[in-house]
Amino acid sequence: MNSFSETEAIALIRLRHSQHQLNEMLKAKRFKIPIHLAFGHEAAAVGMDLTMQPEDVLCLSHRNGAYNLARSKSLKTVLTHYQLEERPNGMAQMASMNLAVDNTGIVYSSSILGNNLAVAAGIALNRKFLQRAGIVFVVMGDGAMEEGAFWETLIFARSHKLGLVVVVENNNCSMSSTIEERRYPIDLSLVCRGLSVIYQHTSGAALYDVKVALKAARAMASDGHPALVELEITTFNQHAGPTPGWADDPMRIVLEDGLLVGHDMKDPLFQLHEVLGAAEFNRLAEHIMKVNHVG
Amino acid sequence: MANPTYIGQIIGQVNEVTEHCGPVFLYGENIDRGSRISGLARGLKVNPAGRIQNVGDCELTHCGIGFGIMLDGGNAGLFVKQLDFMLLGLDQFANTFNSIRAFRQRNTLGSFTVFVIVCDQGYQGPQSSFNGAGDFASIANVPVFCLNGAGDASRVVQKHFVAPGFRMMCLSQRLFGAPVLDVPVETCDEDRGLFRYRSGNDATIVSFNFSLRDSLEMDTHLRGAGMQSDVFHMNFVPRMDMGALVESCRRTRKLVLVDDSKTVTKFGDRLVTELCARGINVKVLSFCRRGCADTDYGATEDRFLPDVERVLAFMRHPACSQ
Repeated sequence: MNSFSETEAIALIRLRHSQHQLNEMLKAKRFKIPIHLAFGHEAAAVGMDLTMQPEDVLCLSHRNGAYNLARSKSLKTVLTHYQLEERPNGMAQMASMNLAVDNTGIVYSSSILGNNLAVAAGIALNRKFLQRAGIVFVVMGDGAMEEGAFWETLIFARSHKLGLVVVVENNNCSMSSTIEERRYPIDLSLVCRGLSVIYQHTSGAALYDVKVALKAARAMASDGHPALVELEITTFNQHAGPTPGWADDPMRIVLEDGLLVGHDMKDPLFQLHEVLGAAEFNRLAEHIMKVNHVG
Repeated sequence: MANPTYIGQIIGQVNEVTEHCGPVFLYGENIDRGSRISGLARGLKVNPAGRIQNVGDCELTHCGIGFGIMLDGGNAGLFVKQLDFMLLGLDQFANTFNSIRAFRQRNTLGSFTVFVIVCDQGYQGPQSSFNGAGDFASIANVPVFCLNGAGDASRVVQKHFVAPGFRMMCLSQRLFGAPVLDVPVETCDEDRGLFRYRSGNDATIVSFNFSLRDSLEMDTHLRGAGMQSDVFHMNFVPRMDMGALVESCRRTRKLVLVDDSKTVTKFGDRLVTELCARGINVKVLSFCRRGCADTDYGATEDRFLPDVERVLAFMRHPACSQ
């Protein structure tokens, strides 16, 4: 396993702790809105945060909470949206499904599968047309790749040599259906090969691997070669709401049991725990949890 | 230009804007190839900072592309062969634009305009027969302008094309080669949603979709019979000010609605509802198709003509006398 910098360790723990707190609030029915937690996606979100440059932008799906938390570094800020607090200048409340926290580089989040792909390509096209710097990252899941918009956007991005990086969080889950339960498997490497789109595949639980893949994809996209990064991810809770958020959700996630939710390499925090060792992990976690705690 | 055609006049208006607007990205399938989208984009020009870009066949993505450009502060113009194709982009019109307008200040946005042909001749068959531009306005709550004559087209294009936000501008294929309708506009509202072309106290005639020529011909016929009417063309602009129409109906007490679209839900219904809500007693004659029979979708001429004799009878009926 690769080492973690202190900044990376703090970011991973803070994000996991924020999700735990949200989960406890969901259990206490403190929200009017649906919230899609993403336990297990921490390395992907933190990796994205560490990869994005100031001029880059990010388009997200409905499962955007981890990215908004990672980019804003503030659970309190995200909570203002989840709690539907008034926004300045009479703007509408964002809530969760379309959350794009200001000043994070997140410019658009869509609750419609595949909808964000074309919008992201449009931003990338405008950047190229106006010769403005910046790469556009767009995040989707393995459900959205079934949409026609996925195919269309790859063709468009490749045809116009856009600075676009498509990140597929493949968690083998579309609401409650696994890939096997709903369709034939899709080999994205072959799809990309057919379109000459750069393809990378890695574990979405390993922060180092995520960073390497995203950095390489960003470099290729900067040269006008759109890229796709497929991240194998385990989502430790299903669809939405508190865990168990779904009737057949196997997980029982409780903050009192500690930050770890998985006990193998599928959990990004388990990987951190193994590298740091229990004592150092717990010391760091205790400190961060104090600072990051919200009432 | 002497005797311009309907489409020539509109493209001339578009070019007037693109000549001076700075960077603008115009795109569409075959926009610079072959027939130039059945002539829609023939003669289209941009300034040196602009671009005309031929693109592939992915309409849904083209609509999202436009919103992406708009989100990033750019100016986009999408040129489309058929209104039917835009059904593929309806998710973007409704859902993407709802999100953008809810969360972003209008003055931080760029511009996205769709120029789309409405295939309203009928000869292209059932899969090219969707002609209800107003349905997009109703579903997505977005401005949809049906360009009928020189007066309204110039004012709509000059005001809205490359202005911040999103809108659709629809063109009638049936009218493409026809001489431009050059009837002076008497008044129009700030949003370019309502145009008044003629004035009179005997009736209020309101045109929707691509019915302005028919409405003006109807008025000409009525004038020959000694009756003078207010003639309006109404675009599909959400929350538009209908004050001028209400005032006219209050004065004339007779309302003639002319709508050549096949849509079932009509914007004219909204006007009638507004009049009722304001307690204005008005007699209504409606020349509005509401859908079609299944057999009406074949490849035959699709021409909806209001019956002028019915209008004369309506105007002369004792129940309509003031």
